[in-house]
This record gives sequence, structure tokens and C-alpha cells, in this order.
Amino acid sequence: MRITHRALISSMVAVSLLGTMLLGAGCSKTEDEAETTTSETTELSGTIRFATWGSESEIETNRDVIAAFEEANPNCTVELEYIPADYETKIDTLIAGGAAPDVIYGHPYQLRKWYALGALTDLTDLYETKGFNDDSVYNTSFYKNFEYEGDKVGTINGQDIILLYYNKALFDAAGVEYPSETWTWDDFIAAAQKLTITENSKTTQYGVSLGANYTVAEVFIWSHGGAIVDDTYANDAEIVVDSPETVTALQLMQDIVNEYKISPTPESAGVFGGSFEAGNVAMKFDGAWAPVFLKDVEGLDWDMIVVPKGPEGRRTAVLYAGYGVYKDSENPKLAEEFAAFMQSYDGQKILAETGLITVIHKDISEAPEVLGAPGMPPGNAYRISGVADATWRDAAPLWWHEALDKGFTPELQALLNGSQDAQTTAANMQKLMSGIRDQNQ
Amino acid sequence: MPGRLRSRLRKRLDAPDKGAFWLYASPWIVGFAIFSVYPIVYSLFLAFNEWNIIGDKVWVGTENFETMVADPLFWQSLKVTGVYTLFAVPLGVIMALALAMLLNQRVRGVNIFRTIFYIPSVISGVAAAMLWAWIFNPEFGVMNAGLGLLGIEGPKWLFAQEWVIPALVIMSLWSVGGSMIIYLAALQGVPTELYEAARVDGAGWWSRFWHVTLPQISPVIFFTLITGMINTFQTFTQAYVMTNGGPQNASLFFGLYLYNNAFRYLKMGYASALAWTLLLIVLLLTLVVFVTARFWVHYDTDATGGW
Repeated sequence: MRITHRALISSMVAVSLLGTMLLGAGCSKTEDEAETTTSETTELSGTIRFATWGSESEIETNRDVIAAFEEANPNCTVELEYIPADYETKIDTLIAGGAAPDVIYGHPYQLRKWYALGALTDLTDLYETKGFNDDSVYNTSFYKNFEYEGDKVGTINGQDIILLYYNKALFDAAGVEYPSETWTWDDFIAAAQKLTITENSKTTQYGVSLGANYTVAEVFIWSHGGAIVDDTYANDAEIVVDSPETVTALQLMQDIVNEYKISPTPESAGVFGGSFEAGNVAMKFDGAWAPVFLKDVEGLDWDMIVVPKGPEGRRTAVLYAGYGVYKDSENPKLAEEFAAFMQSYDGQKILAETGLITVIHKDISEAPEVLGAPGMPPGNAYRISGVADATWRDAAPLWWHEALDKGFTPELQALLNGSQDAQTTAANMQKLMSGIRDQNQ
Repeated sequence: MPGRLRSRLRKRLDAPDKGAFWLYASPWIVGFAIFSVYPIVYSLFLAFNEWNIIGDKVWVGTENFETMVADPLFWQSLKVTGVYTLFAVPLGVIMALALAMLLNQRVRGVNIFRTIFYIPSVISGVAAAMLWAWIFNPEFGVMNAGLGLLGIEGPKWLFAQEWVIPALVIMSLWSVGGSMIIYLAALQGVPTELYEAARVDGAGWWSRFWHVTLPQISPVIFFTLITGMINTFQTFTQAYVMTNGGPQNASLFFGLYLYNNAFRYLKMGYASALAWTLLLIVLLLTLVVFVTARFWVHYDTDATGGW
């Protein structure tokens, strides 16, 4: 009986020990925080974590930027946290756990979301002190994308528009003139028809490949005078996707796939097994980052140009990325300095080297040695001039991606697969996306 | 005999070692409490809140459940998961049992075959999903190449709305090794004298299978049916890795939709409500199977030695 008692007590001790360990783990963070707050000085020093995604060459470039930053700030260390997949989820979770990196790379919609959730610092003052608002130095036309209710949610890395890429060899073989700046959607279709080759009722080469991708759909919709939301920058934007203009644009997309059959359906795009890179799709719509990958495709003779015009002129979509600073950073000064370095001349110069990003610093992005870097075609200059026709591909509301996921993309798939007409598609999108809007508003 | 064993065990547990039992079990108990019980209870609380992980929780009562009823994708995901379960579970039982019976023969190298058929069930879900994505590739995949040899033009599998679920059902049959092993053990537990008696009575192969084998292993079928059903209702990996719910939400499994709500749209409250709804559905279906069990599950304790 005495032994039972003793064993019982020892087991309770064991349990409470375990509990204490866990409690200790929970508490240690607060102690650390307290320490760093008191030891904070004006002199920059210490270590910060920087999270990013990207290809191998981007990661290399980021390491180069970090090296340059550490050289300029001797007592500082930047630890690169490379998150190759599920980036947004991972950052969400890190923020929720109070363990987010100090500097976080992201698209404006992500940075705006994290800012709205209270996880990022307002960088308005930083923009002032670093001179980022100077539009003779920076391309400030889309700074609004990095604002949430007037606050700056991050520094800016660059901007990339959607362009039309074409395979010159296939154009030559078909005796079709290369795309020009004056191209309309009709010219585009006429060329694509000549570039589509069908043998024994099996298509072996397509003029273009249209995926069920909202960014490409926007290029069609906007150039016809349609839109998905009434105000890109309003947090309570209304869905207006069922306008006659949008229906016309959707009809054109469907015709390209189902009537003219110059593009595989999204269903058969995987089946067809071809691609622009493989040399059996003559044209594709892709972002200005594509040249970095295309230049290394052996035997591919290609160039790039702005997208065709619609009845309402030429409209293209633009994507951005930038750097947010974690609100609970233990070294906020250093984190802000690093985020600023990314937009500074020195940082942008290194970032531009890969050719992946059209950096926001004008002198660098427009420099002949950047636009004409090895492997870049003459059309690379359109990545700059094309920005004039661009609209941010995303919209301000925090429910935007949920609405796209649930109400836009599946309907676009159905349209392109030919299982529903443009009118029904637009009506369904309107109903489903508005439903998500109302649910979240 | 079992009774005596039980009383001996009871005596041992009452004895001084009881404290040692709690001591040795405590790491598990603590872990279970913190990492399982606590999140489960907390998710029930969350189901009545609105919470985006980072901000404050807002009590919304039953609003999440009301949203669910009006959410077309909730019903779509329920339908997808239900249809998949309806086919994958019975076919899985049949396939596993058929394999177990084949591998219960006395042939040379049977252990090699047993290993071969069991291996797929130890392969990681993501690796298997990647592998099958290639097998189902309509243009280059083994599946359509094989069908092509038979003169059949294969479907677009994962890219086609009407074929994506059949494709995933076929894939699920590949990993029946786990239940196959259980059936194999059960088959070997069927007393040979029952077969001998049946043979003496003039029973053929089918009769012996229907009147001896099936009733004898029915408790095991019952077990695999229940666990299989619970597992398929939680299907996630295939949909997440191979199809992302597409095309047109045709493979939007309940688990994937729940995940999307939690981690893509940061609606923890709604996701928790979905999770508890799933639990209730699975619980209800399990109860239904339990109720029907009395009509087809035979607990013949004397003969099998204590099922």
C-alpha cells in the first residue's frame, strides 16, 4: 500500500514535470522578447529572418542581396527562410503561432491581408525617409496596390505584366507575319488558325493554349470593356461580372477553344501533351518573368510583345511583389532597413540581374544592359512600355481569392471545356461570387 | 480460461504496480491530452465562432452551421465524398478479400506475393498520388497505353469531371494491402474442421465460401468496413496533390474543402463547424452499420476463440 502511494506520487511528479516543461517552452519566448526590447539600441545589429519563395536562381539572387546588405551593415545577419511550396499557408500559420519571419516576401494581396490581420508594420514613414515616393526614381503608378486604408503594407520589389509570347520558327514555317503592336483579337485569331495543324483528325500543333486562368481572362474581359469588380481598390467592391461586355469577352474565349479550335480545352491541355516550350504551341500569354525560363529552352526561337487590342483598346494585367515587416519583430529597425534595402538602388540592381523581375527602380529596370541581358529578345522592352496599359490583376477585398476559387475558376473551366455558354457562365459567376462577397462583407 | 486471465490481470492492476502503470503511461496521456483532446474540444468551441487565426474570436452562435446549409460547395463536397465512399469501400473490401483468398493458397513463393501486394500500403500518400497522376496521364500514362493495346481510347481521367472519381477509386484499390493482411489472418483462423464437415456434407467451393468462410470472417469484414468508411470520409491527399478539387469541383472532397476554408480562406470557425458536421455524419453512418451488423455479423465465440 505504501509503495502504491509512492508510485502514484512519482507519476504525478512526472506528469507535472512534463507540464512545467511545456509551460517553460511557452514562457521562454516572452522572456526573450523582454530582453531584446531592453537591449535595443539605435545602432543596427542582430539577426533577422527573411522568408521568400522562388526558383533556384531567385534564391541565389536573394543570397547575393543579403550578402551586400550584410557587408553594408557589419553587425547584422539575415537568415534566409526558403519556403518552396504552400507559401501563404505557411506564413499564415507562422503568424498565428507568433513566430513569423521578420521580413516577409509576398504579393500585394497577401501583404494587404496580413496587414489587415494586424501582422505587419505600417511603412509609410519608411517610404518618406528612404525617398520611395519620388516618381522620378521609382515607377509609382501602382503604389496603391501596396496600401491598406492608406497605410503602406510593404516595400516594393517589382512589377510584371502579362505579355504575348510567340514561337518565331512556327510563324516562319506557316508563312505568318509576326504579331505586331497593332494586332486586334481578330488578327490574333486569324494567325492562330494558320498556326494550328490537324492531321488525321488529331491536332498536332495549336495556335495558342488558353488555360482556365483568371489573369488571362482579365486581359480578354478588360479589353472588351468588362470587369469582374466595379472598383479594384474598394474593400467592399461589388461583383459586376455579368455585363454584356464580359459576356462578349467570355464568348470569344470559348470560341477560341471550341469554335475555331485553335487552343486545346483545359481538359485536353494535359492530354495534348504539348506546350509552348515543347515547340508545338505557337503562342502563349504569360508574365514578364517567363523569359528567364524560355531563354534556357534549347532550340526555341521566340520573342515577346504586348497583348492584342480589343474594342476598348489594349488592357493587360500586372502582378507585383514586395516585402512586409512583421509587427512583432524582435528587431524591427533592422527588419525595416532590410525591407528598404530591397527597394534601394543597390538591392534592386542585384535583383534585376536574373531578368526575372521588372524592378520598380526606373534607372535599373530600363537600363539597356538589363533589358538586353544575354538571352533576352528584342521584345523584352515591352515589359516596360506595356505597363501603361496595365491594371492590377487582383482586387482589394480580402474575399477576392475565395470568390475566384469558388465562383470564377470552376465556371471558366466549364466555359472553356464547352459545357456551358458564355451567358450562363457570366450569370453563374455573378451569383456565386456575389454570394461569397455577401457572406464575407 | 479468459475469465481467469482477466481476474489475474485485474489483480495485477490493483496491486502496487498501478502507480507504475500511470507513470509509464503518463507521457502518452499528457501528449494525448494536449495534442488531441484539447484541439478537439477547442474546435467545438471554434465552430460557434468566427476566427481568422490572427485576430480575435467572435462568438456567432450557430451562424457557421446556417452558412453551411446554404453553401453549394458544402453539398458538392459531401456528394463527392459520399459517392467516392460508396464505391471505394465495398470495392476495397471485395478486392482485399479476393487477394487474401488467393494469397491463402499453398503455392511456392506465396510470401513474396504477399509482400508485393502489401508494399503499396506502406508507401507515403503523396508519393503514391504523384505516381498515379502519371499513370492516369491521358497522353503518356500507362493506363491509357494499356487500354490502347486493347483498342480502347482511354478517358481523360483526372482532367474529366465524370472520370476523376472513378480514377481515384481505382487508385484506392491499389493500397488494399492493409486490410488484405487482416483478412489473411482471419482466413487462417477459420477452423479447418468446419471446412471438412462442409465437405463431408457435399458442399462445393461456393457453398463453403458462402456458408463457412464468410460467416466466420464477418466480424473482420465488419471491422474493415467501419474503418474503411471512416478513412474514405477523411480523404484529402489525393485531392490535394493530384486534382486540387478540380475539374469544376468534381473532386472537391470534404477534407479538402475543410482545409481550404481553414488555411486558404482563414475561416477557422467555419472549418471547425465542417469538421464537427463530418464527425456527426460518420458517427451516424457507423451507427447504421452497427445496427445492421446483427443481421450479418456472426460472433461465434466458441469456434473462433473469442472474436
